[in-house]
Amino acid sequence: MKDFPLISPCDYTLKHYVGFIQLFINNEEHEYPIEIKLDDPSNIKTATIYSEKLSNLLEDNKKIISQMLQNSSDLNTFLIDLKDLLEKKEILLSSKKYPLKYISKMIKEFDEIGWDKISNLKSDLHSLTLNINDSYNRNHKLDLIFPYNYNTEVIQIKADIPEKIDNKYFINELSKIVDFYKNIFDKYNNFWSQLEEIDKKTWVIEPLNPPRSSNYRRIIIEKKCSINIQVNPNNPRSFPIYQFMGSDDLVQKWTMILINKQHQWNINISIYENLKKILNIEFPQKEKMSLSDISDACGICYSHYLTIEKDDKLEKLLPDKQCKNVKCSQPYHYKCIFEWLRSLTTTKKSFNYLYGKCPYCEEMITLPIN
Amino acid sequence: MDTVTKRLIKEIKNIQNSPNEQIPELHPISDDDLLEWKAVILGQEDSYYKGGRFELAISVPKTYPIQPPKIRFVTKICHPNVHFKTGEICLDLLKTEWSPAWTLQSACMAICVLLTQPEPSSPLNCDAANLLRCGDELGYKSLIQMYVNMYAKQQ
Repeated sequence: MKDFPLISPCDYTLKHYVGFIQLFINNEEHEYPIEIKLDDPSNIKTATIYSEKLSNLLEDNKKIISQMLQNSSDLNTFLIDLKDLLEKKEILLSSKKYPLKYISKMIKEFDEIGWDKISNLKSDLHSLTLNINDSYNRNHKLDLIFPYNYNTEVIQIKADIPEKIDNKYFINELSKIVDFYKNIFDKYNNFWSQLEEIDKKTWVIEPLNPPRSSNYRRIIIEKKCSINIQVNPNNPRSFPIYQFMGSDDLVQKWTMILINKQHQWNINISIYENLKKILNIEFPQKEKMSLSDISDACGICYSHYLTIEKDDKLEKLLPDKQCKNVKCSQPYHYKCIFEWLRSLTTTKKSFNYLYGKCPYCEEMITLPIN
Repeated sequence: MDTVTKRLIKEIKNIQNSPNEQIPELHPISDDDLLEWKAVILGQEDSYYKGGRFELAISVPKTYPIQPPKIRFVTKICHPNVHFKTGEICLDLLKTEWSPAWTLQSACMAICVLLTQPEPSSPLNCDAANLLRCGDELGYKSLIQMYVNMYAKQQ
């Protein structure tokens, strides 16, 4: 054949071709045995391609290849297209492999830090999870992704901590990564013990199963009222940013109490102790009540928790919007009420706000557009 | 689980906890598909539909409760606001006045009320509406009761 001297027909029927296809990959020439069968020699669309060595590639790109067959006028032009495709795919595949030297270096590093710290190791060494214990007996997980072009890119590290660490100038050595993060984990000990005490002794309704990176807690105060506190990771015992949520009169009552007694905040005792002293309450425990005693479900989806996707993670959110009408005060999830207001023709939009009627009492609801 | 399913499961529970005697049946047709419902409503004692038993087909959209359910009569009924052939219902709550505060049960109750309080000014069945608008109470009553006897008699 014109552009493929190594491929020739088996006989005069021109129904069967055998030979080699040459692929240039990383400046090296490779020859792969290939076989082409045609049901109708004049019609390229009836062709089938066989190659044992390329079978994975052919299988993965089945769709594109059959499309190429449909669009080609003769066997020669089809083989040019096929060669092009296979070369591109092969290069992509070979770039996703580590050379032996790199692999042995990594294995040495694994030995150094200890294999007991390593889990979820991908068979091609592309990613793994490191289990690190800090000095206070907390177990932490570090997700590591090793870049394929390790010469120019750094290891990507995902840690569950309340700050973002830029590891651009970071050394690509596992033992140093472990030491570095151990220090960071120890630094946040005080912050985490504050939150752990809250998680243990109060009823946290949001976030459920909080990750270590989360710095806020929504705690039940009494029926129909909760407080959302946001703890400063670098100064965890300081007075937190707070917001009461629930029915209007209770929110007003508790906000007044907290404002008037703010000066009593004592940074020598924990957040939990401070809140307990200042609000002068026993925090309700989860075991004694159910969620429907404490707060109403969303008036649209009828659920307490709405699962939404945020940064590739699923989060469960409680209703965070409430009708301002005191007699109604129906709670809604932001997303639910947003969908409803957006579907209404009577809803007005101005700057970044929606103004529309509450589905229950027709009071105006103002909603920022995120 | 998607939001429609969650909400419908809650509604089923509420219906089981507080059934309405006007609506002896209100449930999904099969357990596999919660979006298709069957309902049966009874004609009220003080109305011309007394003794009638009417089947409704409810089709819940995936966007429920943002969008209203589609409800139509399966049992033939003569009513100014119901299409005689298709069973389509003209009721503002199922169209422009819908709000998520309504449920399938309350929508069925609204249809029960519509039976006793027709709106002849927006008719789907002009013959019935005209009788009512002309003030032919006797003709209107006889026509309705004839159809109740023909199609909607309780066994």
